[in-house]
Amino acid sequence: MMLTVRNLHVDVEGKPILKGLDLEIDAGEVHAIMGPNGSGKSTLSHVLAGRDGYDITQGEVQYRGEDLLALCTEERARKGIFLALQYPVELPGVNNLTFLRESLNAIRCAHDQPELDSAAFMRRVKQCAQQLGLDETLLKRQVNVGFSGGEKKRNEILQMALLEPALAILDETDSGLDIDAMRVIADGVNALRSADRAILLITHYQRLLDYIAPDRVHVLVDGRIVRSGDRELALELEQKGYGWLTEGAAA
Amino acid sequence: MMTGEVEQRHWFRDVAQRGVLRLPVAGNRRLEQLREKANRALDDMPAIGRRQEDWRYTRIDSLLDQDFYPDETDSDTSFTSDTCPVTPLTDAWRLVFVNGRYAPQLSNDANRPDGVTLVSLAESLARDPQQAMRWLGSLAGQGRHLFHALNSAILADGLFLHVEKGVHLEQPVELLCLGAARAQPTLAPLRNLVVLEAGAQLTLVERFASEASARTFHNGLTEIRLEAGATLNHVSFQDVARSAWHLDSLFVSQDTGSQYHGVSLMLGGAWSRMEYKVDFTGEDAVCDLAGLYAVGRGQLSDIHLDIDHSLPSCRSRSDFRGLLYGKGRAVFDGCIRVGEAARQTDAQLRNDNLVLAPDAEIDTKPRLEIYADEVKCSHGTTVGQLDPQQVFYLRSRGIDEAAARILLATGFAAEITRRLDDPVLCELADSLLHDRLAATADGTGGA
Repeated sequence: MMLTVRNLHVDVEGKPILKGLDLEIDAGEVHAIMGPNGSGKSTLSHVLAGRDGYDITQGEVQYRGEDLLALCTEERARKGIFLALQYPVELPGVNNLTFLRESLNAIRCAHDQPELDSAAFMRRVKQCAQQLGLDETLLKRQVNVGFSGGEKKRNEILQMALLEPALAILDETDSGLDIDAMRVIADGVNALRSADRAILLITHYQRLLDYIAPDRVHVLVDGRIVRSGDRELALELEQKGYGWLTEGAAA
Repeated sequence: MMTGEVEQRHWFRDVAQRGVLRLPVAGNRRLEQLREKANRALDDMPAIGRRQEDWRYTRIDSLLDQDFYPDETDSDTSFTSDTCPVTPLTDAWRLVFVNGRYAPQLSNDANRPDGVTLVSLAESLARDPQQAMRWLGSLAGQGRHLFHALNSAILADGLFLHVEKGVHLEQPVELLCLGAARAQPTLAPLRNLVVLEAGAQLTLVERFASEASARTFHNGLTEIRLEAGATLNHVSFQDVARSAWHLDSLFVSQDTGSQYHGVSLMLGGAWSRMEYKVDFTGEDAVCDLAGLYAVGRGQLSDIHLDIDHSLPSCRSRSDFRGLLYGKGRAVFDGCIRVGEAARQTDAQLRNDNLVLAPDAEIDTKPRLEIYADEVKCSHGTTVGQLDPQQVFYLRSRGIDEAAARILLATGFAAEITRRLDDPVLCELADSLLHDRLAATADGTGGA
């Protein structure tokens, strides 16, 4: 199993957000977590990536047989976890290429691979950028500074393509994108699908799933997965909204 | 407590006296008068103390605890190209001073184009006693404090750079000031004079470096006169040993339409002070100052700006950033005065500080005194820490926390360093900063 989450309870500033979440993702699978605002979707993604400010009060998370919660953020990244942020952070003064190279080399280093020389690195980056239709001038700019919303998201997917994670978590990567941009991003994600990799899509809307077909769909309501199913579940949600499930959860 | 006034005056007089003994017999009446006047100022000027606005946060006790002596070693044999603490720029005309003394063998002023005078001041005074005297002291006058008086009292040598009307130099002029370690603490006085006639253009790169254990006190004073439409790009890159003291005072006078672009980096020294005094003597002049100071344990960086807009339609930009990575201190005291007649003045002053260590200290004091109407003036100051979101972002990409902090801190500094506009210097600045930050194991500056 790539990822096993059992009975996960998480508080933020003393307030319970995740209230006993269970989830299993196997290698080769694409899962989608959907849910209304405030249901705990982003909390889950942040906890998996190791962000500070979350109090894990109960439960456990196993990642490839290892206790994920015992690892610090950079160790998780080096072991193959990647989180594409909903709001990518601007890094003033930090050159995008420098950032990408430092990341890639940190991860290669952790796998006892030699650092890429700058020619090989440039080839890799340019190839990825081209596939994602990312303007190459953005590579030379400061990370995300002055990028449009779509460019920021593409830059996240570029990092994902470059770092080749084992478990990629995409937190609302589709939000604020037009159809063309979404298609490009979906292509990037689909290109990454493979038997030894898992992808977790966190999204509010089902439209991303028109382009990236998930193997499983989970509905997160009030800190718990209230329903799981195949792709049809997403379409059902599209028609009925979350109301019928929310009521169920409250009952 | 600041050293007592009596001891302080003795100190200045003793240091001056030892310097005077080393002066060549000038036979230059005007120069002698200038020195004599400065000698009298050593008696008459008020002692330096914390009641004075520009010394409020600056203590000079550790400097006054030392007895400084003029250097007597042959400056030319102090360094070879292998032992030189910096790699000189390629393609630059170069004057080299070691502990304030000219080193002709290390310098390179061959193939200068017509219309450019680039010599050591002493040489110029020997060749033509009147040329440099036309301007020497005209901008600095008596100076503002005892260190300026000390500089003038033993005024002997430095850079003399004169560019005739309309001459544009592509190739930069490099002034290398090297500190060599001697048995005793060494005074390195330097007096520079830069005159650009109307429409002349030039890049001047000053670099200060020293041997690791040098206990040198660099007391430099530079007068820069830009005539109408002249442009000076002026880089000052200071990375002297932490055992050294560094005071550099610039007096800039700008005539109509002239442009002064200054970028200064202050990375080294136990005490590193920079003073800018800018005056406009014509309209439509532009003064653009950018600076970066980085201090770690045991360092004090001390910046003072005094920009005087007394005529209309001039523009000034001051953008200084501080990186406090250890138990270091910095003082930023920036004053812009806009006189009654200075309508249409456009003046901006910024000071941003990134504090990486809990026990670092910054005293920042931007001041804007406006007496004119129809002006566009602003000032802003920030003192902040690294944004945890940015650190998380980098860590989530596999970069460890220390490396993430270094990347963000050098990014903060890059806003200034990129303005060096020279790939070699930019890279040098980045790698020096990187090394300093990395040396403080966890990126917080250590104990």
